[in-house]
Amino acid sequence: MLFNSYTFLVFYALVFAAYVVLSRRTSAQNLLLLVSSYVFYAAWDYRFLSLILLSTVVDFWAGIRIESGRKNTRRRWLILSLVTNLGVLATFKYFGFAAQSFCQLTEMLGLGISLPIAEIILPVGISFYTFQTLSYTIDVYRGRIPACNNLLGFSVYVAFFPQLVAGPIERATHFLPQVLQQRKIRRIDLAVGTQFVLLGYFYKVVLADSVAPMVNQFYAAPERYGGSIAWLANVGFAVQIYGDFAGYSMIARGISRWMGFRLMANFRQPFLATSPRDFWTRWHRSLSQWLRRYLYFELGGSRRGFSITCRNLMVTMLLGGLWHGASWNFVLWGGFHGILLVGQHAWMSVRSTAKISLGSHDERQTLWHMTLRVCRIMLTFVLMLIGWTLFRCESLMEIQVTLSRMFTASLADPRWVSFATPIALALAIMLVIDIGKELQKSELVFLRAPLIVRWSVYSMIVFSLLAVGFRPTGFIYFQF
Amino acid sequence: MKKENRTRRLIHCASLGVSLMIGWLLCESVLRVLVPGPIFYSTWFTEGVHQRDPYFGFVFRPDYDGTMRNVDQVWSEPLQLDSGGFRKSAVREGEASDGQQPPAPPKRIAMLGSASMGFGYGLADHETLHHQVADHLAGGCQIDLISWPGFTLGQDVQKLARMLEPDQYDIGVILAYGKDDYAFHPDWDTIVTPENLQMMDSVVTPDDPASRLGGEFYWNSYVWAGVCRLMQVPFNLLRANPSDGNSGKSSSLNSQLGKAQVAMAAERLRSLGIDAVLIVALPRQSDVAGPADLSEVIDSAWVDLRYEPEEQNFDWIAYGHYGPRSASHLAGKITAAIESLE
Repeated sequence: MLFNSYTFLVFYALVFAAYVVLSRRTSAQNLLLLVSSYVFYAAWDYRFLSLILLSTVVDFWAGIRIESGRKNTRRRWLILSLVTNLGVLATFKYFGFAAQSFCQLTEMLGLGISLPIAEIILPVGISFYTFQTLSYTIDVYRGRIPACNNLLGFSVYVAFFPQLVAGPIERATHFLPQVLQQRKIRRIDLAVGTQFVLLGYFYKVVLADSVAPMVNQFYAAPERYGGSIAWLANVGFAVQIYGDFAGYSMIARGISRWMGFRLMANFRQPFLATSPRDFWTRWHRSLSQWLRRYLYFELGGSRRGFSITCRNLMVTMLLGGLWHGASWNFVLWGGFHGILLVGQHAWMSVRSTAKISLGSHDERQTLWHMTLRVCRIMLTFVLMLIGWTLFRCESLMEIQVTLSRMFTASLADPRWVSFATPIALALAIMLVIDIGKELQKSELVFLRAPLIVRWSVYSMIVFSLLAVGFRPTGFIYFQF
Repeated sequence: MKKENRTRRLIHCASLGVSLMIGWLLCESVLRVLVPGPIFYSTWFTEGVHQRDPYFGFVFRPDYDGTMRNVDQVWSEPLQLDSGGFRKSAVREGEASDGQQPPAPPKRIAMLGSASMGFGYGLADHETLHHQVADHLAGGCQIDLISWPGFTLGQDVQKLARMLEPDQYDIGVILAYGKDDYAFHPDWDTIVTPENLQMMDSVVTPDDPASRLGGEFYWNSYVWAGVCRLMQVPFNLLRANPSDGNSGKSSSLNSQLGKAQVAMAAERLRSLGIDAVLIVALPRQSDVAGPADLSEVIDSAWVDLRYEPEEQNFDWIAYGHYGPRSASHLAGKITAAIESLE
């Protein structure tokens, strides 16, 4: 059941109506949310509900045991939780990839060992809810949060349908209290939620889905296009994936907000990032914060010297890449970002040692500072585009062809205008909105705008959705 | 106080009215750039590709010089048709053996069926199946492509009979792609000329019930067209999928009543004077058409390529049509099958 389908609109309208009827009865509302979440997930594939139930039950009991147990017992329950969640993830997501890679490796070495590789269907959203429940048990183990003893509430925390299949990955410290406490539907929540939902649908249905055919067209046969179109297609993919994923996240936040829940902002103007590190504080923030807290910091973070920090950065980004999918291109993508982060870390170390400064404090308000910032944004954007190539390609051969089109092929291609115009417009719209958010230091740009501006934008979005309609295109991040 | 309230309400209403107007204009402007060209009718070709025909309803315009493009108009490929409205024939000269004897007369091959897949929609001339088969074949040959997008196998056979001279061909190659090709249809070669053929810019467009609802303004406003389409949604949701029903009906008909379309087409080609006929079962991007064992429905020579994408790195372009790599691979297999006929 896609957000961008009429079926979902009907489903949500029914759930919301029942939710309003059950106002002030938190347990009844939670029961409604749990049942509707399971129905929502079963609409994808009812068989994999068992995995969610397994995760829920194991982590619920593990949380209670960890809190009440002694040191050894606590550790054992934590290990049980880790093994269960990561085991499920490994079996359904990585087993086939590992077996296939092993076979290829032995073939390269001349041993030719073949393993029976079963076709395992990837349960939708498995990486998201697994990481969410893992964060709960780790936080309980670390004493950051008390164990939850309300099974209904915990089940809703794991399976809450707006963010079940593609996040944001909510930490229990932030989301669980909202599930357990009484919620009110306030006018401001309805207004904020409306902005999120409208903008989310606009990003996904109007911007991302309109650019997608161009990107797909290029990646179907990259060797047929010149360098200019290769670059444009990558800009198009950046627009597509941002519109797609941020659109999903905004819809999830909006429909949650209508019900009184506040989900974290998964994106914070990523196209305005001034460095790779800055990018990761703006892109898929729920995942990058998860990786930083539960992986990078656990490995020692940046406290153990330069080389250990570099190692930790690389390990974190490689595993972050692998989180996206069981494929070498995602590993490469993670590795590429790891190298960028290591490079930036090294540059910052050199800068602080040599006390290199690109302008004094006073000068930072000047045109020079602005120019420098724009240059940084553009450089970061170009680096991210190269990264997106690795992300988008489906094989190493395709990566090679695409990169060769980008860097060695002639830029001339008479078809570039038909690619450039729509992609440039979609990018410009996103940039205008993002710059508005950045300047106002708030996501609620339209809510704060004069009435006539707000209504004009909202009516433009509603008309656009009417005109374009829902196309049966899934969200890119559902596959993870 | 009441007057102030009334004034405020009036200002609100006026603001809302102005906002709606601005929103409408913004939407129409943005969408015209973002989704260039009309998105409410199929624009698979640039204008002028079709012309009305009393027998077939419409045909491809002879000597057409334009482009194929996908419905979002983000991609295009030049297309030139010959004096019959067909894609250019693939001609390969034979080589004289030892420089003594004149080369053997070229083989004449007619290739038909599979509509846009057979036509090579999205491919340049030299990348199409029939051109690549000609490149692979040993000796001289001329391959004429009868397939047209939007045309059934039955219509292709009729075109061959009416517009060309079938007995000039040594070999007929029938390309099977759709599920219907493997099913029995008693009226498989009957031509029903549509009464209300919808043409926009001389491009035949699929019948769209929403356009009947929206009138002329439907074609000029994205928003109005969207509203009309939205009004169709409840009916579409309630309506059963007609294609599923038909395919079930077809397969039951097939088992009870008679031969598959491809088999009947092969018979017809032989009756038209083409001695050797090869049926090629082509792969699809989404699923596999026809029974697992083709001998159940085909009694001529055939080659089954439906499972090739599982083994090969297929490329798909222009909404699920064969890319150059796929076409090249398939052409190699078709060539081998043609050579084994001899």
